[in-house]
Amino acid sequence: MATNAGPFILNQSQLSILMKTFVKLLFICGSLAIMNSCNNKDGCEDTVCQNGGICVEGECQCPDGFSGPNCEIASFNNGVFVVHEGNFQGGNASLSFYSKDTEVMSNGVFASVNNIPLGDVGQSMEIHGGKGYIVVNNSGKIEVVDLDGLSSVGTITGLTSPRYITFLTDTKAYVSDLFSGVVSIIDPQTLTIQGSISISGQTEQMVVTGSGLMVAGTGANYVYKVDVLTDLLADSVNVGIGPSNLAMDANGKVWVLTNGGWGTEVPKLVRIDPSDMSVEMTLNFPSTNNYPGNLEISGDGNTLYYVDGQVYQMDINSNALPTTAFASAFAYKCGIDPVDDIVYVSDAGDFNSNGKVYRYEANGTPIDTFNVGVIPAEYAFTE
Amino acid sequence: MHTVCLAQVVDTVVYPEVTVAEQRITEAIGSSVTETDTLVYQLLRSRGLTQVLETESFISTRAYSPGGVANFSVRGTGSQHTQVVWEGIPINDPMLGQTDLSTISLSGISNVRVLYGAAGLTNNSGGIGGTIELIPKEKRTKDGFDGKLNLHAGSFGMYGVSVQLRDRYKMVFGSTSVEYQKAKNNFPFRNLASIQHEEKTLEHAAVERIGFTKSLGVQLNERNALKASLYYAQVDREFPPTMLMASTKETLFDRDIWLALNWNRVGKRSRISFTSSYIFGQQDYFDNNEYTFNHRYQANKNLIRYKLNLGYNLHLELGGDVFNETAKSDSSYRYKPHWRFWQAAFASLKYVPKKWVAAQVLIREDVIDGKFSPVQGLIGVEVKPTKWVYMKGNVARNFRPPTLNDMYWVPGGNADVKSESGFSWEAGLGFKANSKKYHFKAEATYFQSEIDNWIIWLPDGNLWTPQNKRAVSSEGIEAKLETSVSIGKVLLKLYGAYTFVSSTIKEGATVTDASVGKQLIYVPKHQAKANISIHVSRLYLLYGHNYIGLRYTTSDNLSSLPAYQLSFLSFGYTHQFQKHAVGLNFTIDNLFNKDYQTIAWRPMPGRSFLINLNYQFL
Repeated sequence: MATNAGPFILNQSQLSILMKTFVKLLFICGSLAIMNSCNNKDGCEDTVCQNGGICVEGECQCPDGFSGPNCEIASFNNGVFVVHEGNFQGGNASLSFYSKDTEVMSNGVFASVNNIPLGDVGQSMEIHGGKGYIVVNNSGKIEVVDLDGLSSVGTITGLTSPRYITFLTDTKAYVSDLFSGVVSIIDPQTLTIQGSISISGQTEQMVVTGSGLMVAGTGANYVYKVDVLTDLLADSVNVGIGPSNLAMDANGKVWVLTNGGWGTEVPKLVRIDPSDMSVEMTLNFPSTNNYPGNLEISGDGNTLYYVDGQVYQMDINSNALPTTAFASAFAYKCGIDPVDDIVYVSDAGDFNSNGKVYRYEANGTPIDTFNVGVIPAEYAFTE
Repeated sequence: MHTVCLAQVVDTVVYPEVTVAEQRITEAIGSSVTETDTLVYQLLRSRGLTQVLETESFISTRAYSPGGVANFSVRGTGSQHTQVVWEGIPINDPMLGQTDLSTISLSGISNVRVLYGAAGLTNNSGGIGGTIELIPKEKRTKDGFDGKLNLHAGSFGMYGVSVQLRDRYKMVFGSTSVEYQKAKNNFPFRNLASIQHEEKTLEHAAVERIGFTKSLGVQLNERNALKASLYYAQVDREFPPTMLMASTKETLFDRDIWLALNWNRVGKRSRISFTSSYIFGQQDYFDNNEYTFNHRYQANKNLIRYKLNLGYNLHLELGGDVFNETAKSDSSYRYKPHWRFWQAAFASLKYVPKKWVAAQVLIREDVIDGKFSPVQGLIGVEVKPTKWVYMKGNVARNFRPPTLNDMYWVPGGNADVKSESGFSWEAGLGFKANSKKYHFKAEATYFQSEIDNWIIWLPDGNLWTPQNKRAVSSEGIEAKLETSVSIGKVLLKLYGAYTFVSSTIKEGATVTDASVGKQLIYVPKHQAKANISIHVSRLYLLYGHNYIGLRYTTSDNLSSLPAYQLSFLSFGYTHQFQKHAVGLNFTIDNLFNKDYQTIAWRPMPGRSFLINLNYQFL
């Protein structure tokens, strides 16, 4: 059969048919591909705009007084913000808002109001004086929004790798940083950097106590005390490797959670007295395979929470770490509503898709679940 | 065949002789292979391997910036699922398990071949997606020497020089190449992360590359030849910020040294080849805090191949590998060196009657640190019912071991993480016709593969650790058409390729995983490309068009980058007098100045220009 086939040579007309057919095929393929990429729909099929909003190219244009992706939000003054890290260098940090008035979780609220993406790696958020301060770590900035509509008030720039903002007064706040080697002093009114306090290595969470500003010096294994009048280092205490999280309890004591250097030593939960910077109690985690983080405290300052795969809950008067988890759900981070003690748990899934937020009563009873953005992390509760 | 044919027609000026490569990977019967067109390769080599593969293969690539770290996907898999091979030696970084396409210096490389799916099993394991073969310059077969000088300069601070020399004196032959290239990549772009989409200039994106290759061989007698080959490349790169970052200080310095010694003996019915190699890799990463992270790896890789013609159209091949890999890293492994001892053996039997059917059976086993891999193997068939139609297909089982980072990264590395296993099959139909005046080839292949125990890094508690928690199923179609027609002094060439890839996650990594049933991120479902060129004597005009479909950026497929189309136009002229040839090429990339991103929020350059000046001594 095939072996007997003679020399296969096309004549000119056959060749021309072949070429034409090919060009046609290529054209059809190309057209199909192009058609596939741009459909003729206006993008509004799946978008429902509430409160009189109008959909234009898939996005709601909201009337005055309403905002959010579907114009569903009348106010940002009573609820909970979920800060999403998004992927490192993925530029998909985002902000969700749970309205206590409507009991609705709205995603991507910063972008939908301000028409720009939030930035790269949403780290944390603080609310102060009717404004929200969103620390966007890998964008080196703090986005400031007015809670009356979430529109941007301005941006604090010139930061290297900001992590947390802590307010002293209406005109003074501190910003910790992973890479700059300083804690920056910010004027929240003018959104400018007023000065800095040199602290070698990375700095993480801070808390204002009666005797000064406490700073977790993750890079140098110290918790530092800063005199807030002079903005000079006043004292420090070595608490073990990697102090990252701080929380002040009802008795004015400061709890410090260390990460143990990710396997170098066992992580610790340490209680210090900020007045003399003495270590009052050290609770060691069972092994170097524990990687606790995200220390939080209830509004009354009597119950600690932290995340070690799941959320753990601990009374401040306990002398031992809890052995059973507060809730079975996988937790990346958590937040505690200071008003009603409701526990918000962030589940980041595979860390490359939209996550979930689970809500629990303080006694561990599950309440509900919301779909949120990519890598939900920390929370900010309205005043 | 395609390349050789075109080389004969077009590049008689460029190549004084067309020789058959000696050290190529044997293609598995029933498998799919592509090789870049000579002209396209010559034009794009100064743009780097990423653009070469993007323009003429079924591979989809993505780079953080031009010349920046580049990842790619073959048949819906990740960069780690494709082996890059030089002189028959797999050279993927054992720490990351992949090759950054942008670190490869192409100065001593004469072309690039892609073996899809299990086609590379005839040489190496680990290529579940495929194998990319860097083909070194062939040796001269006659006494004398030839050389080529290339100078190029382009938009955004790009310039470079490369020299390639080959010589032979009786039984001694060799080649040398040197390359230097620098690009600032300070191109303007629209910042889509700002309200006004204002124009900015990309900063901190410079790339500087130095490459050097040297080979020296001796034909000892009719039967025996010895060859030593050296490849050296270093790339110094700045990492530009994304549209959402203010600035960055990150830089990465890469250095690769590959040294191979080969003994080749050709018998009457047999051929034996032994290669011993030394592989060195260095990565120095400087982060925003100006910390330095140093990674080093080295490997001794020994490969032996024995081919025997058994008669009755049966060809036996036996192969054995002994690899010793060591790696150390200050940050990732906390200074502790780790090593891996890797042995492999395979046996292949081919039935090649030079008639209408050919078949192959291959079986392979790898043993890493005493752990046996799943039994790998391939069964392939090719049928040619007529002279111009052929059908081919294979079914194969492959595997990929965890990387050293998967095993030893601190914290989280898990030495007990299992290997990934792959099962694939493909079937293709082709049509080809040739005469003195024309060349026509059309081929379409359907493939399907299942990868189980896919390794993904996820938190266990708060600790990130590699887990065998994903299973991925891929299927798709690769279709291509190559044709050329010569009418008098005019030659018309057309290349078209279309790729459809559906690569979906079968098993999720977590209970709430929304990625199940979804397309893998950054794998476009549709990709189409076409290059059309006209050659009149020594003048050519080439137009290339590339369509890359929508790519998802999150595993639940809720975020994506839009499809884009890119075009390039190139024209050039070569003048030959006696043994000298001078050529000038002018290329416009991104002809229609389109905004596009291959990675989210990473700007890519608009329209840019490149001039190549070549001088060749034959």
